[in-house]
Amino acid sequence: MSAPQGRIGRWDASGWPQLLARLAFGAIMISYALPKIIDPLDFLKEIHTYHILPEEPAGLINLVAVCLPWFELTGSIALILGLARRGASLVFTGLMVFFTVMILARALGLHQELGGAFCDIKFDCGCGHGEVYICRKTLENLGLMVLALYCLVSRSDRLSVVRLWRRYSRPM
Amino acid sequence: MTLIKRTSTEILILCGLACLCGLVANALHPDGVVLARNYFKVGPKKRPEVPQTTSSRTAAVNEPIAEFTPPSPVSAGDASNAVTAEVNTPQTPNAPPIAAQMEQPNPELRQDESGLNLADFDFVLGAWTAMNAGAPSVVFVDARKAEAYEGAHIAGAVLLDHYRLERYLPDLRERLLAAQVIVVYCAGDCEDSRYLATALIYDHDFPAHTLFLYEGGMAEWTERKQSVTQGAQP
Repeated sequence: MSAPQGRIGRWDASGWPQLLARLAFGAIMISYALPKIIDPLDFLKEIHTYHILPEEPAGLINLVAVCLPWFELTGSIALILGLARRGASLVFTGLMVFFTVMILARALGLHQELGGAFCDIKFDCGCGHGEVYICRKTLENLGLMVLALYCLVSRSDRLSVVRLWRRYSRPM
Repeated sequence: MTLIKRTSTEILILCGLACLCGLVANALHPDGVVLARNYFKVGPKKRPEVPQTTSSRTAAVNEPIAEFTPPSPVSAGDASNAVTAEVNTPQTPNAPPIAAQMEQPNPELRQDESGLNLADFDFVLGAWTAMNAGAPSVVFVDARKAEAYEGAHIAGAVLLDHYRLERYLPDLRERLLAAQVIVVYCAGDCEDSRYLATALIYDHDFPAHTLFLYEGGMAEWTERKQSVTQGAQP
């Protein structure tokens, strides 16, 4: 592995910024996942309000409602531990982009319907935390996107279970 | 292993693990999603079939019904085209049950594009009054979840959470099938009452002419300061 270039490279190579990003992102995603796992029917209703998935066959939207929160949970745990880091963070980055676009589209629809200030638009986005203000939610998602992207592109494995495993599984 | 191949493998493993955990957890969950059930079914865009009766009651359909009409017995052989509603009340224990108004298709009664009866406030208030007068053939059904129902519901309404039908319907089925007016409502700005009515018709063989959607829901009912109750289903 080539030596890290520049201050940012050395900073990343220490592993600490990545660890903090993994911990922050993982903790937030776990907090989003748990309410949806506890009440999958509520999450199913929220998914339906976006009208992205077809109602027939019913199995598709139902499967997403059942499996997506568990991906958020298992993916977050894997990310925190530094396991499957790139896979998890790639999917999470894609999901954050997708969720943000969907939430903004819904907010624009509500804004056209109800009028008023855009940032006063509030609704349950299905994120697991009840009703949220659109501007605050968009900023949160952008922040999460940045964290997920950093976890994806970071080159360090220094502070991860993978590195620990490699270190302690070496023959003496 | 190349980076792309390794990342793809990681994604597949994570997705597989998530699906496995999700399906197992859903199977064990007391309020799990029934995977094969369409929770958002809408009826076909047509009027539902209404059975024609050959009873002694009149068969007229052209009388407009703007509101729920109070009970009045219909004599045998009555040749008028008036449609009447009859309700069993404590005052008239021998009066025949509600039938003619609800059994015949009425072009004046508003319906949505799939043929579901739509009830406005006046109709709902009339039905509620009849229910409170003791009519067993009128039932109000709350399609929301238990927490919303317990917070406040139309006085006398029963809880039939659309997403947890398997839990509530068995106890209510007999009573609902015997009813001739079932008013279904939810919060107001919601579709759950529509989905519930559709599910009752197409999945549970309830006669469509007995079901009435109260579109205004709890929002309109409380706005008009009508009677509400709190607490769990008795």
